[in-house]
Amino acid sequence: MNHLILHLKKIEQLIQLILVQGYTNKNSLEIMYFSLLREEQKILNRLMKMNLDSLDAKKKLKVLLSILYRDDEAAEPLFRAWLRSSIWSPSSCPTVIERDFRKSMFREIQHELKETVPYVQQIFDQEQSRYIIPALLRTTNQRLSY
Amino acid sequence: MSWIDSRIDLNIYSQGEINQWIYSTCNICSIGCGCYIAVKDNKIVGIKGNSEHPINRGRLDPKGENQWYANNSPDRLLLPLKRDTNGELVETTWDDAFTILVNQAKRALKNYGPNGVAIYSTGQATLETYYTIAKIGRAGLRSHLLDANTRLCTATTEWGLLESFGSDGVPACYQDIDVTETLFLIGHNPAETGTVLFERIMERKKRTGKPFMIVVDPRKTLTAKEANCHLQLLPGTNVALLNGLIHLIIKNNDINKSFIKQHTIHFNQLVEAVQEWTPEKTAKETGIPVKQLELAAEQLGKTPSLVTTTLQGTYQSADATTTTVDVNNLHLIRGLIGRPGCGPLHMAGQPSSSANRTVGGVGSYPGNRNPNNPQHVKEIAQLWNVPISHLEVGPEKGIEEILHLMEEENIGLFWNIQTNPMVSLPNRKRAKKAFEKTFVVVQDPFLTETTEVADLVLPPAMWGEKDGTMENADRTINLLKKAIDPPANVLPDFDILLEFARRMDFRDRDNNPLISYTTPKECFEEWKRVSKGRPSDMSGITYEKLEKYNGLQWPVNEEHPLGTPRLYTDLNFHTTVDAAQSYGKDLFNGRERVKEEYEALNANGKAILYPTIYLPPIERPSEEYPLWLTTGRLVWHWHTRTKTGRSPALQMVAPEGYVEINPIDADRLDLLPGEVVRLISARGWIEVPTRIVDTVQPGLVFVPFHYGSWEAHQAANEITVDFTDPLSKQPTFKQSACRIEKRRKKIKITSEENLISVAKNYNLTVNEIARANKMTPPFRSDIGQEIEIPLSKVNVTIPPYMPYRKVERYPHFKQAKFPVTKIDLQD
Ligand code: SF4
Repeated sequence: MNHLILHLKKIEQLIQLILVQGYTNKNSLEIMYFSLLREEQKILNRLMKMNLDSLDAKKKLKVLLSILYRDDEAAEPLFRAWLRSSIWSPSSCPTVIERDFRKSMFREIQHELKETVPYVQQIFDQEQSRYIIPALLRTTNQRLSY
Repeated sequence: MSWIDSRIDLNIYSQGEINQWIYSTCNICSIGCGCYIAVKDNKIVGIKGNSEHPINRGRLDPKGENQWYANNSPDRLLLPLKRDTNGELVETTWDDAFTILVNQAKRALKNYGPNGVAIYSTGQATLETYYTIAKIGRAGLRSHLLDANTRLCTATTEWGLLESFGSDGVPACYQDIDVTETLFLIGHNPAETGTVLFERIMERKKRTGKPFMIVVDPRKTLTAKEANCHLQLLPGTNVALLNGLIHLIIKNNDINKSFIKQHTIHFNQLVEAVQEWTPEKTAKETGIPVKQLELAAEQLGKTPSLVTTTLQGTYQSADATTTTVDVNNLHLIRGLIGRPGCGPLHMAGQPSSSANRTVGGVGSYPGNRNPNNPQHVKEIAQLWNVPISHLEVGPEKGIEEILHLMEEENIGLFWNIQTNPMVSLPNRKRAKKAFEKTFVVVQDPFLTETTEVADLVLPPAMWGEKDGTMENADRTINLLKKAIDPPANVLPDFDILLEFARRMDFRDRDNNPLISYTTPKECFEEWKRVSKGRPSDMSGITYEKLEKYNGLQWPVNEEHPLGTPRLYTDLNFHTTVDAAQSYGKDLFNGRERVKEEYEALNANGKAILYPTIYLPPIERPSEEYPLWLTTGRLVWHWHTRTKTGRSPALQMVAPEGYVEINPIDADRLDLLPGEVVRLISARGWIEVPTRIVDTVQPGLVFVPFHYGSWEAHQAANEITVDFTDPLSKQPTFKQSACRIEKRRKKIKITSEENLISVAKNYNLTVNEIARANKMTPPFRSDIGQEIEIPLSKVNVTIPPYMPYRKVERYPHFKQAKFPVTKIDLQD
């Protein structure tokens, strides 16, 4: 659990860095993924403040983690689209430095989220965690041989 | 009542008597017209409308009448092709092709895992093919990367319905259009895209004056021209408009309070959201005058019955799903749903795209099941007799997300079935680069722009060469019977999939083959068991019944043996936690809801109203790209012209791309009609002749997307943006920004020349040279004066097609009478 919390903390810090930077062009894409990052931030704060000894802790944990992953799943394509839009609208685009900074933040968030997977799978069994962790985060490294 | 009488449209080209007529359904658009295929000596030689079929009563439109030519096209692929070491596509045997396919699938699964294989199919195949894709994809390959070009076509229909009503399935039907007082068409141009349905609407309108038609479209389309009220809004402002109209309807107290109380939730949130959308604010954002807004709101607020249709102007625009939900909101606050003449009728584009959604070939779960509901997943596992852990959970991934995985080199096999994404995907250069990073299998009867990036090409059978069913836009399941054998060495998609499953040795829990059926009919019997008890229950259908009754609308079961034209007549919606097909997504940003959040909504069978937030289009005209670019279809062609381009008649009437530009913009840029110009966006450029017409508003240009050859530089999707709706993941083709550059050369007038001789040299008139150079009379040509000459000019004449104008006096379109021109059809 401690390891999981450490990764969640790291994600919280990364998101904070993006949010502190604020909007750059405030187009519809940036508005949408910022709303998701803000929600992620709230969820992370609740996760980190959770009383893990409470009776319904596991149930709450499941809901909050599910929302966290889904926030990321929705934010990631919006962010990629925003990157493209930034290059295409020179007049209202963020600077290369701003773009690269965000890119690296999102990459790190993805990396950290991936790191959480085994811990979540430990807390919940494989079957339950399928409904918590999105497929691509869970299965990218799962090889099948027929 | 649909149609007063029948009229059998016919297009045969045959020497001598034909042998037989085979029962079928048109395979072009989602209207679902019944037809018969003419066969002579195991060859398709024509088509005629089915006069008994309630959808069309014998009518067919030009695309429908000419679809069969492609079957006989001399350039059909008759053997599989593989790319050799020199990079050339060379013929090979089916055995070799299957070996390559199976080896590649195994390699991809080994190297990348179950989501290393993606299947991207179509909206033009049969229900049985899609169901087989779903089963092989989910239970065999264990992938959830199943998508189709329906993502470009009807994905938003699905998500709009899931959000408001808990399940897919359009509430209203064509019969409702026949009796409604008001028809509200939003981004839907049936005069060109669903022509027979439009003829049906106009036949009644000419006769009775009804329905009152309100058309929302930034272009003056042929549909808009017939409207009582055309709301010609600025591009990308659908939600602003609907919020403004709902604001007025609530303000005028034209709402059905008891309906809202009994059958919906979240009305107060909706009221709050539309509060700011005063007529003045709406007018400013949409460009529609307040008076017109008030007129529309009055009609929509007072009408006793209303059908609203939506299509690509909604689905391929900014705020696509939000607009669709806004339409549902409108019907719900007025209580206009679940009774004759009432309800949202969110359309589909292709002839069976809806079937792909229904049976799960497009990544949805079969039979409107919820991929996040363990009970629903368990049901499928039991029905298919596979371990539950083999079935991936979670919502489908759209093609844009799959492309991204390809860019990241996470896909080992991309299997493309009967679609041409190198023409139809937005920002196609990006798509091409992604395709080049993986092993691509293309299943197509012809060489296309997409086979250019294929490693393996499999030639499938076409319409008329296989059995099966299709689902149209109003839940009608129609039958298509095999009329002729496919050419030797050409296999139906269905057979290709079955052979693939056999060679992959996919098995169920009891070690029996995963796919045990061998014919489409047997497959349909299995699907019936899977659908039983679900919203799209088809347990009461047989192929024989489909032929006897000319299509049946789902659900068809013991309770409704002859189908269900209209959904939600009991006003019970699929919004209980156990029944819902999805727990929904956040309408603002697309974040998937979790079960507990859905439970907390407490909808429990009531429809869900949503606050709808307007977000302007992402790319808008700027200094560098000052024009809006929108794309769309012509009445004469379908999609990427793989079939319609092979019909001599259709190809002759609309052989190449063009750009429509308003006379004001053309004047400002000194453009000549037909002058070839370069359209440039941040993604690339195309070169097309101009059509200077006021169908587009100033500041907007329109390019048909049908023309995609790599050499001709006319592909609209070379310059479109590839942003997608956050819920449905449907691309927003309708709003990009571009600029126009003239392609001209400069010449100096010599002492031997004058304007008349220069004009003659370049095949222009003096007036054209004067216009191109902003000269004012009297036109002088001084020696040494520099003038501009357009490099190229093409006469673009695209005749409109409006049979309803003179249905009685003029014969319908006939290939023999070709070309049909304006003169043929106008007064
Ligand atoms: S309206 Fe559609 S289904 Fe009917 S004939 Fe035309 S293309 Fe075919």
